[in-house]
Amino acid sequence: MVRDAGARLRQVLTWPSRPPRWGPWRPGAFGSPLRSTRLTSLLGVALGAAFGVCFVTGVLSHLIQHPPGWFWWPSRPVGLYRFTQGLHVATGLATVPLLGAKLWSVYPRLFAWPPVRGLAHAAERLGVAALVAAALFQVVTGVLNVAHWYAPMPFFFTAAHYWVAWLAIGALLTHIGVQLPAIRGALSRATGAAEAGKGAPLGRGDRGEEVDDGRRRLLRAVGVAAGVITVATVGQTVRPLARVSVLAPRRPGDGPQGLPVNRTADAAGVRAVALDPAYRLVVSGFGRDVSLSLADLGAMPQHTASLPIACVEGWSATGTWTGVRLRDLAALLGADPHGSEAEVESLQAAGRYRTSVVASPHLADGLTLLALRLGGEPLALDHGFPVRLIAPNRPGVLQTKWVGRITVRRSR
Amino acid sequence: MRRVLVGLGAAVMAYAIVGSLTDGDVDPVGVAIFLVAVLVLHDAVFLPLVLAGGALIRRVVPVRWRSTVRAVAIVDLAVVVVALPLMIGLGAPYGLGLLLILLVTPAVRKWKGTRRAPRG
Repeated sequence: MVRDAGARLRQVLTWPSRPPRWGPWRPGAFGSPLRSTRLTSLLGVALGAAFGVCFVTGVLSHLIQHPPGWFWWPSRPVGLYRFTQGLHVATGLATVPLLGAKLWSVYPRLFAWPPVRGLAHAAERLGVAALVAAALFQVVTGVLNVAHWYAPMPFFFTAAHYWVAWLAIGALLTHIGVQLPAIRGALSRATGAAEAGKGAPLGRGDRGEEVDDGRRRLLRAVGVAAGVITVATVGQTVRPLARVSVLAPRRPGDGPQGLPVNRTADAAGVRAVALDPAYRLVVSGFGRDVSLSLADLGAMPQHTASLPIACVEGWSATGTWTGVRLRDLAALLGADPHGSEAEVESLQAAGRYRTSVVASPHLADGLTLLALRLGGEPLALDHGFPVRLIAPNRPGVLQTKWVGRITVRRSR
Repeated sequence: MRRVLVGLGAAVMAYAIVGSLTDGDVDPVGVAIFLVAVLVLHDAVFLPLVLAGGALIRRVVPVRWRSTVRAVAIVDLAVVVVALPLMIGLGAPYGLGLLLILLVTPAVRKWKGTRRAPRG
């Protein structure tokens, strides 16, 4: 009995150095010969590039919506934001198979034994956990946002997605730093070939070619998956592809007057106020106040512009808008559009996006309109009747609908 | 170079944590829960299921067709992961698009497979 107890005690004290033998720790549990540092590194390069593109285009979208003092965003080209945000969403969706394959290829490392060898090792593992969690967070929340399925997200998507993006990029940089020697080794031709020929120490044998071939097929399948997803969804941005894009969350021709709608008048609670015949657009600033009825607005010089609504979910559609130039309204106050900005407020009583600020490049641009008509017809209620703001190169959330008040002031 | 990357990465991560805690729009508890949940669900549920699927293919599919079946499975899985939330969030019509892709993919692979010279 005493001998048994002694043996037991020794077992307990030395367990960290002896791996379990069941489940994922069973020898040969992860049988696929396709796993290799070369596969992992190749997928890593592709993922790094994709995350880089998403990060740059994503931060740009954030800056446009929350411009710090130093930020300047032009009003042309008209479709620039549509392009950058479309690229952001398309790249993010294409990341799904890439990330899936990468995590599959490194899965056995989750079960490395002992789990923690020391402080530095623990920090490294924590960093990897942060990277995996943040990467999954970005892709999953991104897809949920495109799907307009907010229930699973116990937070405000936009802010969370922004900050976790920084977490992901930081964790990625650290990860590359830690793995740099392994990456260099795996991607150089010589070591790559040696890896492939695991069973043939003098070079590539049959087995080596098989593994190479298998890896190439896997990468090709992952590439095809990314391609299929892209073609199936990108029709929400690229109109000619709309017919092929069976999964596109928004088809350019959907919605009233041939343009999709994100937030309806009823959802925004503005129906009664917007349809009130006593509606007036109040333009104020520089010590003056002008109150304009729909008839007054209709009597001012009208201009027509073909401008896209480009949403953060990546979809965009172009409409033909007719209305009064914002800079003409500023001129009523005697303001110089080149040194001023305009705060545009909606009839919507509450809500994150009820006001937007139009900086001077957009204020001065002749294409920035307070639109009264879409496609030649009076603006539909869901598109912002009686008046909505439409400007070139601007995210959809900032194209304020049901405009009630405009305040012009000197640029800060 | 390594130290620069690791140091820079750590600084950026610190920026992310501090920024998210000071941004009034961020619910740090909700974000933390989601981060952990997505990590655990992926590693403890999703991947084991994928591996089981792979083992099933090895068991059930004859060697000749294995790589084709695997390729189709990879494409279809990726498409389902993207399409399922779209269906749930935006409605059933997306289900039809999904079905179309799932049906077309094996057909295309079969056609491509028979055109290529048979492999050993």
